[in-house]
Amino acid sequence: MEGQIVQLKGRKEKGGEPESSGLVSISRRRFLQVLGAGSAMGAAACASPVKQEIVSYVKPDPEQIPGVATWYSSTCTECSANCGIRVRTREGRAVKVEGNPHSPVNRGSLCALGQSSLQSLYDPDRIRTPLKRKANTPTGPQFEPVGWDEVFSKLGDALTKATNKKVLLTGELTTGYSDVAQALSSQLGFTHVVWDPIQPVAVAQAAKMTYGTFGVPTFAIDKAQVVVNFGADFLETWVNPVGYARQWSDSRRSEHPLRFVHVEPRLSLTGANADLWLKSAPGSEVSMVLFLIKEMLGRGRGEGLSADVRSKLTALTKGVSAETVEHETGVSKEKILLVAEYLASAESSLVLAGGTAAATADPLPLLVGVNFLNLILGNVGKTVNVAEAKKPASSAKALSDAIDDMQNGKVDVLVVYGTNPAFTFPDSFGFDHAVNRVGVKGEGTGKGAGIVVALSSHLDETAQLADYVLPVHTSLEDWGYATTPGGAVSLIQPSMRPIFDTRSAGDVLMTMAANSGKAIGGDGKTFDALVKAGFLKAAATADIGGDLERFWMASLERGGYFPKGSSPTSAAAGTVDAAAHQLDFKPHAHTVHGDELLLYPFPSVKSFDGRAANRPWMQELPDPITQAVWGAWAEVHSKTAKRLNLAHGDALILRTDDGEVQLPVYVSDYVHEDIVAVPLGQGHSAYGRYAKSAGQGNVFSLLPKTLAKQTDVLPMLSAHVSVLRGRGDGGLVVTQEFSSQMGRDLAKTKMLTGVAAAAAHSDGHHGSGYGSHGANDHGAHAGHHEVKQMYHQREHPLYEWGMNIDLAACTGCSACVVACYAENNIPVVGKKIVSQGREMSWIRIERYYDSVPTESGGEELKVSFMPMMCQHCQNAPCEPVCPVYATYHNEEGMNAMIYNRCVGTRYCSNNCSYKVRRFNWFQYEWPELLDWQVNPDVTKRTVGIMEKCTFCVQRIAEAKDIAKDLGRSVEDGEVTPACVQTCPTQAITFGNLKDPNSRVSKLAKGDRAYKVLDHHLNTQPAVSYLEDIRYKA
Amino acid sequence: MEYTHNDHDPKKEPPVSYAEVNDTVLKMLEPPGTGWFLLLFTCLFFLAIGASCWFYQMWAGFGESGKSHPIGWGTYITNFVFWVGIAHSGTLISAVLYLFRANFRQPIYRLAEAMTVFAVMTAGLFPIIHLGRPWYALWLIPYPNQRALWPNFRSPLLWDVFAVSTYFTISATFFFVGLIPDIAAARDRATTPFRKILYGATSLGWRGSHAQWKHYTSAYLIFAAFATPLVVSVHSVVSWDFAMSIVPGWHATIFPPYFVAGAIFSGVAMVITLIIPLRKAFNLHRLITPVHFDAMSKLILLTSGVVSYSYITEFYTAWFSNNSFERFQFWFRPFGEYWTAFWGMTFCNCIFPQLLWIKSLRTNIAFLFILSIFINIGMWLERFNIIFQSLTREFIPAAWGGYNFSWIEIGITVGAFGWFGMWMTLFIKYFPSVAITEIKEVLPPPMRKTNSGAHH
Amino acid sequence: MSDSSSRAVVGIFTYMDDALEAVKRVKAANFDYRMYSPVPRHEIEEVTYPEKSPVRIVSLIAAITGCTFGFTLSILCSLDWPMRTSAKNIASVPAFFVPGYECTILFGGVATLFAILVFCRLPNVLKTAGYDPRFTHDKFGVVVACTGGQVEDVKSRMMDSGADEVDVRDSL
Repeated sequence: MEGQIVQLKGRKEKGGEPESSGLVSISRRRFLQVLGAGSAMGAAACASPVKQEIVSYVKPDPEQIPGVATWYSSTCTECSANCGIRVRTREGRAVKVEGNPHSPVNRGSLCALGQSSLQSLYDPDRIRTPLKRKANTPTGPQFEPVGWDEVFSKLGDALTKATNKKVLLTGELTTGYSDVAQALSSQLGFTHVVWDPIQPVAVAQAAKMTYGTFGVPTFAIDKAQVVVNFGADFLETWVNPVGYARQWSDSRRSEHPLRFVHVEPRLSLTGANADLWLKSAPGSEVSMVLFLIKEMLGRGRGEGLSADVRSKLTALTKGVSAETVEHETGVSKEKILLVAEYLASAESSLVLAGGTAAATADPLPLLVGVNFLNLILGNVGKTVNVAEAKKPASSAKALSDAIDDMQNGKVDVLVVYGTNPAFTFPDSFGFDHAVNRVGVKGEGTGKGAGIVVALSSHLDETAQLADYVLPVHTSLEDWGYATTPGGAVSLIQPSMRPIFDTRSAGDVLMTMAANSGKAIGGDGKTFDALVKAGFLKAAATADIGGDLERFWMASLERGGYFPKGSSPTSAAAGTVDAAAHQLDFKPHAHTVHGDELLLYPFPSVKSFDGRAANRPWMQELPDPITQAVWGAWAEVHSKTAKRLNLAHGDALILRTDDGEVQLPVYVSDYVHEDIVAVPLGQGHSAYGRYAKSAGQGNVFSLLPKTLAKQTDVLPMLSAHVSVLRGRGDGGLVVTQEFSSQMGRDLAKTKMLTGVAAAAAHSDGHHGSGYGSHGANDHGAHAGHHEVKQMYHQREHPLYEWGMNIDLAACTGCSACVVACYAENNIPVVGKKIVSQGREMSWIRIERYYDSVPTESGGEELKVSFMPMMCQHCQNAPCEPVCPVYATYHNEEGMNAMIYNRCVGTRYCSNNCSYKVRRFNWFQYEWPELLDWQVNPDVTKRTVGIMEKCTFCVQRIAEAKDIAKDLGRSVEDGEVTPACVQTCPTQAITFGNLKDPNSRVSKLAKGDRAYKVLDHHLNTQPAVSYLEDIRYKA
Repeated sequence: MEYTHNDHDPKKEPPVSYAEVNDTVLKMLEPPGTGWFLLLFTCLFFLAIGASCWFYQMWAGFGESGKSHPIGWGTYITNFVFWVGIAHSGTLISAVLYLFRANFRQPIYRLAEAMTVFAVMTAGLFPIIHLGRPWYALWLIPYPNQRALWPNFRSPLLWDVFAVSTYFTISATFFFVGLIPDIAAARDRATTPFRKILYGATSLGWRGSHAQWKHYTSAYLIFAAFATPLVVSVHSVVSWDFAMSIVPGWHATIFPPYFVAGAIFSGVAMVITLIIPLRKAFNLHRLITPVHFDAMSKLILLTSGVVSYSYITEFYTAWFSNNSFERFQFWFRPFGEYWTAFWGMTFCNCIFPQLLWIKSLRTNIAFLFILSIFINIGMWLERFNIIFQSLTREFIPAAWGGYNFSWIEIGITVGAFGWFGMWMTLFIKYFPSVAITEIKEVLPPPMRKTNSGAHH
Repeated sequence: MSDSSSRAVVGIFTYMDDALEAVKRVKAANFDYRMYSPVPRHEIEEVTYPEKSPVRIVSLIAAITGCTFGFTLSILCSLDWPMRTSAKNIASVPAFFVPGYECTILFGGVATLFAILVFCRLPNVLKTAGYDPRFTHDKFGVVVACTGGQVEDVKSRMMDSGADEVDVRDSL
């Protein structure tokens, strides 16, 4: 058939590539991909690096209509949560990634990182052919392109000659790949080392110690009435951020919202969403846990535990009192007792620990202590699910051993894939030097047969050390599958044809094995076949029905096998291990003196551990807390800053025995006085143009060569840095300079009273469990206040589009911002232009620091996050001032913007009370390859014109077309703008206000509903907000 | 007022004669000297700077100017309002004072009018310069086009198009009509063929017959009647660019009178700035006398008072409205980040001019010159405060921002002065920049029977 | 003998009252005359052109036309392309006051200019018989068109009223 011919032609051109792209398994789908991609390449004749191939639509396939998107289900591999995704392709090119609603992990949502995975696929700095190290120059190693065959032959005899260890060093792998890795270690004797710096390994070990099973339990946050959290950033990067954010918000917006207490040394995004945020001295949290244990036992809790264990715990916590805890943590006694009260009076609760706060030199006391606290409170089996545990394979110990082996010439072959230890592992361990000694038998002797091969799609720090760099598919071009704790098996399938001469890492490894006569999974087996087999095996747990092939196809379409009712929160009881008795709980509070501070490195939604550093979207995305863009910064407490004579924005030099970095100072009141907090993941010396241009700041280079007690994990809180003032300006760029609302009631808050239990008990007399209203409550009903209108309001014949944003659910994670960039072709302008206040983002996550009253008449910090985009006002101030009708009010209630009519007076922007219009100050271009991602449905804007949020009008048009074909009008939920679609907490709702039964209409009438500035200006926005909620502390 | 100089001159000079007026004024048109060329080239040089800056801005992108979010308007609109303001005194002096028969206007009004026309020509450039896509500026004009689009007549910017273009047309016509008889006078004593042709053409063959004078004078009166409401309307319309918006600090009903007063204030100052060197260069002491400066000083004193009052009213309104946004804005101006601009303005426009209560200073040419410069600066600052300070602090604190001046803007601002100066320089050398006829009008006509002296 | 060739008698006066005197005298004899002066003066008008100038009518009509035009233009343009901005009416007349107002003045002003040109016979490229450059300087002039036979009579009238000089030209 024609498809076959095309396929084979393509194959021949590739020159003897093994049968590796799944032609056998699903020729039709591959055919579609080739067909689509081929045509795309035909269209993109200008894209130079591409092997071009023109395929005409002689027989157009029903699934490939030009102008109509094709969706492929797959799985996100950015972090190890493995959310299900759906990739939107147009004419064979992936243009948008969205959450897969079928996946129980993320239930259709996606985080900022996942949204940005496209820019990994289209990274202009991707490796395009296999590379061979030519020479080392001062500017870095020089590589030259080589053929795949040469690589494989070299690798072949390296393997045969190898007398010493063979090391396979990878990141946290999806199941499909770990199958291959296992095969390699079992059949070729590879030592498999896994390194991923932000895996909560210590938590898994603490679970082993307490519950007897190694692994990070799954938590049912939405089932708890009170959540006390010691540093676990589950709304950002921890374990399963999207899933947990959804759970958290489900509860927060419910009738009986959970009460959330967060304890940590530096205000994280997660902490910012807490009802009560407590600033603790780094490493001191354990003492509070001990006190809580003591309190709970004292109140007769912990019935489930054996008397033996109880007495042991009592003994352990004898010396602890509110006073000692106050002394050690710096948290006031009242607050500590308050937390105890919350936990005691809650029917169900959950205590969490993790993140940097728990990454001390001795993490177990805190983590195990928390486990015991959960046991005492009877949470295990209710909100803590030990049975469904995630088992991180990452091990700092294994990596450091491997490094020693390499150093001592005990390693002949090193294969690296999916990890970047040269950047994400402390330099003090000397990975760089060690790699150069692979295959070196003794002093003086050369490398011999020793070989270092990096399977990577980017020339990152680690790849640069390799002898051969093999370009592999990004996960959007690759196969695979991932099992998640809930029992779901999520499939990874290519959403488009490989752009360059890259191969699936799986195929590369399997070819390597096959060449040395150890074919994995049988001769001629390709990775996708392996994946298919593995997937069917993993999914076979449930009854599939007779026809495997049909099941396979169905799974490919759904994105995997998601068994009914399998959600990560079904409970199973845990058991206490007597090994608990060996513990001694000594708080390890750090002390700092002089101009020395404790380094507090933290992962953030913006940069994680640095894997996303070469993605312009992620660099330009403002960090939700600091609003900083492009590069790292150093958060220092204002007192400390004063003491060290540092001003906001100054250059700051952090120095340890192991390294030194220069960073801009960010003065904040929400970090502990003794620490300097620096985000992970910036300061790349390689990896790509964007990563490198973002400036210094790799904190891994500062960490000492130590591993944590017992757990052997990498202790993040281990570096004492001496702090010097650098020369001049640090180059800090923030998009929001003012953090106060000036009492303008923009982001409103509704205060709830009583402990969670009380709120939970109220059977909803007042329609909700809310207690008395708080300070900001006046004007709470401003959303639907009646004003005498000077003009008769406009009629909307069929639709009046509107949006609702629930501030109680919004965590500020900024996924919507990146989604908006991706959907609407918003240009990334770079650090300099952002510093001039000219960022183009259509959505702004405003962050405000306010204070709210407490029961005791005091004040507590209240952080508000407020997504702000065009409000599509009925009485839009921007419209009448435009002299050329470039913006006007259309009959669907939208504030339309006609780009090619705009002459650029910027009057509309001046007159926009929400300041959401963005002006094209320059002509912005997409670098080659990144422009492949541009959404064909949205106009690129030219210089000198205004732009703004359009409610994703292209999606509205699409929905209306479909509805028209069906001879009906658009129904509720059929239009989902990019931000609404991706929101992990589903805080945003979009729909037709004209329809009184649409969700958005109902929400807009809710008692928390209000419209920003409306009662001041009577702009009558189409966007309504729901007040945030806070429990009075 | 009788047009003699006895009131300031102890030894009684003879009154100025018709002949003397012609001689002194037309003397100004004699072939230029090096000084004049120097001046002209300086202006052309500045103009060149401005032009190249503008082209660079269009080529490199509008971002080359200091505008940003949230400050969509800045230096260019400031300059626009500043120049429109300058343009005002011209028509005021020529038209309004004409209707009021204030005779101190005669010797200065021609220059004032020239200033008006050229200032409007300068002002008119800035709305175009400040466009993101200047090459589409014509889309603001309601002309039938194949796109079948019409402009939005509800937009204050479109009002500007009408107001400014009308103002330019009328003041230019008024200016030219006033010139006709004087050009005729120049024609009748022109020597070089170039000037013969130039004046012959531009005087349209004016003869000064009794019928011509008859229609001329009545038409002139009508022009004055048309131009007078313009003085009020144009700057009111300009002020509506701001007053019609909802920006705190812009949205104020006091703006029209406030702006008009300011315009006259700055306009008169600019007249003084220009006329003092001119008077010295061409030795017009007997035509432009301390009497006139005294009168203009009083006008400045008055308008300065009105402007100061407006400032105070703005603050009062902000406080009285109890609108937190307005209140904050007016706290921000004097005490915020950009307090220097505010206090600079206050000093130049409110405090410094008060010295004019002293009579000796009102006729002290050197002092007046310095003062006028200060007022020009002060008025520029006023517009800057209104436009820029308001935009930096609007409703949403998260969107507050600052301004970064760029050398492009400074270049274009300088260029505007070059452009204006170029026209002025050319004008004073080629056309009578003091109104011959009108001065003669207020001179006593030569009579045999002197007892029946000239009267008006 | 009577000479019927047409002549122009030009009287040049230093003093305005003399010139006016001469005008009165030639008027008395119903001569067709024209008076030149460096400046407009009401004394002259009273003698030579007492009735009102028609310019005002032109201006008035033009102004009214302009006003109508301004409003009509803005209203029709808005209706022709009805774009809703904010909640404002398509034809929001208060806003159209400005175009209306400006057009009033624009039309009126421009029309007045044309009125001058028409009534003053401008531009006038032809040489006017009897015109003297001094008339724009400091002299007053009275020019009388008459036949050769009447020259002497006119001359005498002028001399008697105090002309500095009187000369006779062919009025061609």
